[in-house]
Amino acid sequence: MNYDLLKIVASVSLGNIPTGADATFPQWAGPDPTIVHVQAILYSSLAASLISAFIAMLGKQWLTRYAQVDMRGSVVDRSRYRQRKMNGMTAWHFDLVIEGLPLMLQASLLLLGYALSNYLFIINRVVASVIIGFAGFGLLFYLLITSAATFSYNCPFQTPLSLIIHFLIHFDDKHKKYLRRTGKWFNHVFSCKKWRWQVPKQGGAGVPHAYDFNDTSDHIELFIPNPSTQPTMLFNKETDWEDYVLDSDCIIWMFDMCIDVDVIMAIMKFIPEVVWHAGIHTTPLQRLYDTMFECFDHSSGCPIVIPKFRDKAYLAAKALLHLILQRKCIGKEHAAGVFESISSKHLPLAPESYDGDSDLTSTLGIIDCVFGHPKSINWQDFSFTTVHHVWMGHILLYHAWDVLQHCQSLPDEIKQFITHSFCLDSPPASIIADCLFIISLTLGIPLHRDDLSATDKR
Amino acid sequence: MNQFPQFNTNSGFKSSRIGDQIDAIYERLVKTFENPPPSDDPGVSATIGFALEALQLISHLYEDKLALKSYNLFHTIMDAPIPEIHSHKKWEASCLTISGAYKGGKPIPQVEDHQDNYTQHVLTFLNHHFELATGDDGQDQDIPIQNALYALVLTSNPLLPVSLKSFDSTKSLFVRGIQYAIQGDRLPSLRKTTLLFLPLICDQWFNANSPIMNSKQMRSFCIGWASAVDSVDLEQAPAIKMAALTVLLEMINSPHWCPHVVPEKLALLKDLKLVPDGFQPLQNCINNPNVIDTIRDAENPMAIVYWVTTLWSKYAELKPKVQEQLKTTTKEIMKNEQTPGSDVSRSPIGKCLLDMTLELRKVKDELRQYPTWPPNPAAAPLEKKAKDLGLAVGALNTIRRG
Repeated sequence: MNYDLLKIVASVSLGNIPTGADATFPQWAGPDPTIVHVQAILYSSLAASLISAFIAMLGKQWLTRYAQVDMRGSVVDRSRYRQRKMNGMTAWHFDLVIEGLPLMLQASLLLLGYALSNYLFIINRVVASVIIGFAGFGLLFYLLITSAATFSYNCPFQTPLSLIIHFLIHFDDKHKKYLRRTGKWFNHVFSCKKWRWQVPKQGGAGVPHAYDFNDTSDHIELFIPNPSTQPTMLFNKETDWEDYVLDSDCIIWMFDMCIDVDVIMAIMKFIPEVVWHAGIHTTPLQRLYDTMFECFDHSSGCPIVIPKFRDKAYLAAKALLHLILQRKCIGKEHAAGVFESISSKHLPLAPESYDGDSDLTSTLGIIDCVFGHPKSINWQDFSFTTVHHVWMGHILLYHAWDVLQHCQSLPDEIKQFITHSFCLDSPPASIIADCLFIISLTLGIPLHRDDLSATDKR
Repeated sequence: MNQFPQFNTNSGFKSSRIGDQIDAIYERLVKTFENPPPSDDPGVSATIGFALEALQLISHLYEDKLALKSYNLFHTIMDAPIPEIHSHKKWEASCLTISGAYKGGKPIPQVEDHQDNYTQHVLTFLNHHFELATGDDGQDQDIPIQNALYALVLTSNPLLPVSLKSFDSTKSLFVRGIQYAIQGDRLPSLRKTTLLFLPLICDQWFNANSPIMNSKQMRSFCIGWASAVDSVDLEQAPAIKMAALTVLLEMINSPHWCPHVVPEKLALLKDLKLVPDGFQPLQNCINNPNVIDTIRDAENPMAIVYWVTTLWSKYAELKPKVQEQLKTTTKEIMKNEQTPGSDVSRSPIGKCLLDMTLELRKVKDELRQYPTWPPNPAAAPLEKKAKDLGLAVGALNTIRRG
């Protein structure tokens, strides 16, 4: 047919009028266009089904890889490895891809229904009406449950479409501008980098968050400046920053997921082991404060720790103090307003008179001081466990760092702690070292990044 | 986070070794005080204030290395060109450093303070705090004064006697300060330190041509000194005992001071046998004819016995006049001791005679080990001692017989 058409066009272009058989247009000898249309849709449906099956098989492999424990090492190492994989899934929107599979199958079913209805309509309208009826009913049912699930998140008939619509609406729930936001969201999704480290603003020498990372494609390296120009760092250069990010992610995830008291206690015990550096963007500060607050009986006006929650209160207070002081040092929570939010509603928790629990009382006393309720702490009344005393010395070093950054004089609680520690018969060397570091800070002697560090937990 | 890390690199200030940290802190403090910001610099107050805060904190820590560094920093601070407006901070800093140096009340090991101005720094510091203590508002300055006196007493500076000689310790302020430090309401440790310090200035105080204070003040000082001596267990503190004996001998040797000596304290003369040969205060006293009269007239009957016993042991060294006084006094004592039925040999004088006789015999036995000819230079001191003892024993025997 194409040949015939070309012949007519060539003749006309040469000025010859086609005549006879040459002048008649060729007729279509293939299948009916409706059949072509229907077959195209049927093939589309088939392709969508096959692709869904293909991706489903791949997804099965991905999940198997995620589930397997393919490394040896400590619990911390393995947990970090698993957290790293989980972070990858989140960063690469694995859930979205998997949720897309049923959507493709549903689209495939829709295409099949449409193609069948269209095809049967030209063959037999009675049979077609049955098919159209069921297909319409199915589509209507789907639209209804999608609408219901979109309007009510608690509706059990969730579909992938309803989840996507719900997500898009929820994405900008405040202003209902989800259409505009959707565009932005797509841009965000497609321009999203795998590693989204925030490059902090340079705060000058001595500012703790003044560090950077170099992406060397296969790994992330800390930027280590020249010794002559190196700013004073708050954290050990050999600290594995990425691991602490994983630790923090793990802590936050478990805090959100777990309700078991023992797990919560273990998490709070673990929090002081993490260096909450500026590369960590989310902290459980508010949650920790609430957990600690719940351990107190406020009915009498002045908070009293509930005896059975004593350990929980201590661990929460220790974790909170560790977290708040480290984050204050790098100005994160402070800038974000979380600190102000807690400070504004905080009421003194330390007991007015010493009740014999040195570790808890001293921790609460420092928390009160940090949250703007300074009070004299009689360190000489306390009889600390060595572990707590060592920890307290180290955390007060962060406190001193924070205060002296703002050119303020050392708070009394720190001075009294140093005096008390120096006057002990044989204080542990690490406490003396921390106290001497605080004195060094007072004199403006810059700390080396190795001066503040964390022990290896493994 | 519970343990401090082990540092393994070697640049900057980063060490878990406490010694290194102390080095860095003191290095910064020395720099701060050696080159303080100019007085018109708005940061001068803050800089000195932070240094002072650091000093206040570290002064609670004691170890030998810290004491030495505090001592050296003290002298740096005393030399520091601190603006006048911040002089009170300078004095406070000097207090803290000298406190850090002598917190343990021990001599500072390996101190190299052979510079004359080091003593001047301490004396300047001492005068300043004497002024505060004895001023109208009478501030409590016990600890700074005690530490300054420690610095003078415990120093290994060979130039100290020269420096003290050129320092006029008889000035009114200094005298009032020492009077303040010895009084009964002061810290016992301050009084002890003052007892140790007094021998260093006793030449200027007790051998002056004219009295450095009036009689009432001298009496008050002697009472204060006596009570300070009483507050110390001298058997456990031989250094203080020697210091007390020195001051006592200087007092009884002084025509101005001897009337004010507390009689009970003459009992210290019992321990004169412990003093080394050639002990200068004793040498000054034994040839002073007034001393024997002073002691005899004192209301302490045993004092003259102790003194006479001491004089007999040094009989040959005495001037003829004093020898005559000694014989006369000994006769009086023996006369008083002679009661019906008493054993003369058990009296103090008899015991003294016995001791000297035994000593003489012992010296003679030692002399027999040397041949009589040719003369041996090593035997000469023994021969002299035997001769002196023989003279004393002979004179005492003569008195005893009759």
